[in-house]
Amino acid sequence: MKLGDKLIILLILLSVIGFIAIQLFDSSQESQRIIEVWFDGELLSTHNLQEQYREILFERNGMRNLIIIEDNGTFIKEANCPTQQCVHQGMVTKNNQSIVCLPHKLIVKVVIQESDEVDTIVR
Amino acid sequence: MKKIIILITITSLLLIGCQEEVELIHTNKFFVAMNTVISYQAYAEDLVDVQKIVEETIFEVEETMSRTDSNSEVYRINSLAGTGDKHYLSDELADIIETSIYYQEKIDSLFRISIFPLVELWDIMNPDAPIPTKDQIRQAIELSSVENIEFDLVEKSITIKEIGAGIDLGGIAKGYAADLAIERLKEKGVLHGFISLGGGVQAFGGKSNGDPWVLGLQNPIEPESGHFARYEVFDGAVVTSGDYQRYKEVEGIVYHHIIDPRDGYPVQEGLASVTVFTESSTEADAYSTAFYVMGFDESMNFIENNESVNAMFVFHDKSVYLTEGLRGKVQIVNQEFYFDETRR
Repeated sequence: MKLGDKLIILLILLSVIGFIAIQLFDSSQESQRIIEVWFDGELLSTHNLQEQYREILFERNGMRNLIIIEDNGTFIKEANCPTQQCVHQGMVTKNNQSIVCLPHKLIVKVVIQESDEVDTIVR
Repeated sequence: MKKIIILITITSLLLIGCQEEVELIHTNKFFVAMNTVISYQAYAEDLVDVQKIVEETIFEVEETMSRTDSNSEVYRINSLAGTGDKHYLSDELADIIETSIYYQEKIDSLFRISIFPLVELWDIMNPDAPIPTKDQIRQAIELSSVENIEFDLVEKSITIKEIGAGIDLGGIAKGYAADLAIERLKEKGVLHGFISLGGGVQAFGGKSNGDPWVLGLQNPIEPESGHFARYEVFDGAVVTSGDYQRYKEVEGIVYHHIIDPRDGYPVQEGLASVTVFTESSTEADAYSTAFYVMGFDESMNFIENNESVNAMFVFHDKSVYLTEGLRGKVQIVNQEFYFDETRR
C-alpha cells in the first residue's frame, strides 16, 4: 500500500470519527432548560431557565402580563386580565408545566429536555 | 486504488444511512381555544399544513358548540327554548348530538347534554356568580331532565321544550374536536401525531421513529407538582376528569365543575380523578365525566360489562386503582402514590 493510500484511509477514518463526534455533540446540545412564551398559537420567545431574577414583559393590544424567571422556575407576577388565574397559579419549575392566561391566550411553558421525558401531560 | 474507492463509497453510504430516510417535518404547537390550552405534535411531509388543519377544525367546533358565544349554533338552539320552534341542525352538530345521546343512554343519563340549566346556574368559571340556593337548584334539576330535549335523527332537528332548558356539549365537545382534527390529518396522509386538549390526549401512529408517545398523567392532588404517572401509547385516547381542573372557592368551600345531575351539586367527596382509556376521545370524554359522577363502584359495574373501556381511579389518599387492561402499562413516577388493587 502506498503512502498516499494510507493517507486517504486515515482521512476517511478521521472523517468518520468527526461525524460521530458531531452527532454526539449535537445530542448533548439538545439538553436544555428554557421557558417558552406562546401567544395565539405562535412561539413568541424563549428564555433560559436560570437562578437569576429576570423580568419579561408581554404587551399586546392592551393586554399585559409580567413574567418573572428566577430560582429555575417561572411565574406571572402581574397581569391586567379579568380572572387573575395566571397570577394565582404561582411558580412552575417542572418539564412540560405551563402557566396559562386564558383571556390573553398566553402560555408560558417550561421545557427541560434532559428530564424524565414525557411528550405531553394529560391534565 | 479500487479498494479505496469502494471504501469511500461504503463509508459515504453508511453516513447517508444515518440520516432520516423520509423528510418529515415535526410540528409542536400550543394555542388557546375552547377555554383551554391545546397542544399538538405531528410528523408530516412539508406540503401538509398541520397547523391550519388543527386550528381550523378546533375553531370550527368551538364556533358551533359554544354555550356562551351568541353566534354559535348551540346558543341559537338554546334561545329557542320554550317557543315550540324546531331547529334544523348542521350535519356536524347532528352528529355530535346523536353520539352524545348514544352515550347518555348507555350510562343512565349521568352524562347528559341537557345538563345546561345546572351548568348555567353554577357558572363555575365566573368568580362573581353567586352560589345557587336550594330552590334554584331544585328548579334547575327539573329543567335538566333529558325529557326536555326532543331530537329527531331522521330530519336532523331539535326542539327544547321548556323555557330555561337547553343543551351543553362541554362534556364531549373537546373530545369530538380532537377526533375530528385527527381524522382530517389522516386524510392528508399525516400518520404520526397527538392532540392534547383540556384534560385529554388523542394519539395516533406513535412517533415517526417507531417509538410510542409518552404521556404524563397529572397529579390530581397537587396539580402544581406535575405528573405522577406515565403511560405509553401509539393509538388511543386518554381523558381525565377531576375536581382540580376547574373550580372556584367561595368562603373557604371549593366548588368544582362536574355537577351531579341527580342532586344538582358539584360531585361531593368524590374521586380525586378518573382517567379513561379508549379508542376515541369523544367516547373517553363522555365516559370520564360520567365515571366521575358515578364514583368508583358504579363505574366499575359498568366497565366490567364493557371490555373496550379501561380506567384509572385516583383517590384522595393517593391510592390508584387500574382496571385489568391497564395493569403493567401505567407506571407511577411519584412514589407517594401507590396501586391498590384490593378495592374490587
